[in-house]
Amino acid sequence: MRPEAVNDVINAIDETINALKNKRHAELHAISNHIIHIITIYQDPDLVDLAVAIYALDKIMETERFRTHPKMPEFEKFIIRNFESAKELLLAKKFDAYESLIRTILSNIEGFSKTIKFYIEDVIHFARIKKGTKIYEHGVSLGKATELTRTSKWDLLPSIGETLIHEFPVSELPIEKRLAQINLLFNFKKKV
Amino acid sequence: MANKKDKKIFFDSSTLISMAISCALPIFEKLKDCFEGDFYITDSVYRETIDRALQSVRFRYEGYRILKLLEKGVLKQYSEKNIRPKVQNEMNLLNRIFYVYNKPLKIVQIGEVSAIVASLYEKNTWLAIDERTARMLIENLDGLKSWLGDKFHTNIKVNNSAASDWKEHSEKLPVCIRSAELAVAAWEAGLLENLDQLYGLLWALKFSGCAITESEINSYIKMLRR
Repeated sequence: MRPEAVNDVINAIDETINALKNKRHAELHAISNHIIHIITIYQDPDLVDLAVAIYALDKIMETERFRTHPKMPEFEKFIIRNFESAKELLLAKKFDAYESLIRTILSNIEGFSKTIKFYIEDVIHFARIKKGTKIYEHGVSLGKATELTRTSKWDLLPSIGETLIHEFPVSELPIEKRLAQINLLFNFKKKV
Repeated sequence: MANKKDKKIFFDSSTLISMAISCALPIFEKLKDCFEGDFYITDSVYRETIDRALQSVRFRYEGYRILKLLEKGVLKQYSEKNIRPKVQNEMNLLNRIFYVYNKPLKIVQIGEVSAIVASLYEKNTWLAIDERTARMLIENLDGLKSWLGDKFHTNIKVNNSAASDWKEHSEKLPVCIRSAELAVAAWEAGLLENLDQLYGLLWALKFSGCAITESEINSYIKMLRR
């Protein structure tokens, strides 16, 4: 992990632990989005894993049926303990161990979501796509967003298509000129 | 003067993917017959479009359909061997134009840049690209700066020397086309039965990730109805 990102990451972990402990699950979404700023600046895929873990937790917690699942309290305690350990590792600058622990958290969230028959089959992959879409919205290219989130352009494009990101025009070039370009490119004046 | 039959369109993976997901590849194939030139993809675009799709379960079939276009000669693969240093140079240039919190923002990766560079250095070329950021780099650098500022809630610093070098290069590029423009071309070529089909296709492409606004779709339909 980039050392200059550590404080921001610790803050995000603290906020996540507080949100889970105080049952303010609705805050998880905003916390995962806040990390997107940090990810886009530092371009560290390991930061993406944290955002993905928090967003996946948000998706599971937002549905009452899963939030109140009998297995949830034990799982939540386990996740909080792991996030506390992750913070300790960062404070001790043990970055490799931190990254390994975040991957363990991801695999536990994945496993738990299957145990409770969470409706999204692969919650971690789903979360990666959503975070990739958010990174693209920040203004980096599609390729960069896929690189950071370990997804593909095939994964991200349909997700981006469902958002309003492309409702903001790229340039002021009028459609008349674009149409003229098409006619020039394909020589349609001759054909049509 | 370049021969009209030597036209080349370099495709970024975003355009091919939007078309594949929208089931528009048959139109793409017919459109090639109306085109006096060739459709190309670089090695990097091949990897992103075909190799990645073939590695997945969800998009494998679409990957095979694009591969078939290569086998039929509708698409041609363009070796990056000769442009590799230029790709690296342009990527380095683009990735040091904008600074966020005094850090250079790495904004693009190799696939997009390889298609841009190939269309910059080959003659009589066009670039087909659906994704927004690469198109803004080419068509509206100042607009991209404002967009980044809004998203990061901070003032974005611009490396004026890099920006000016890039503008000098990008001015040589023609206006980018998107899968949406190919759909309009299909209409102009008589490949669609009615304007409502075109309207449906443009929306399908938009939902598949093509960076076109609702207003642009409506403008195209309005203009073509005349």
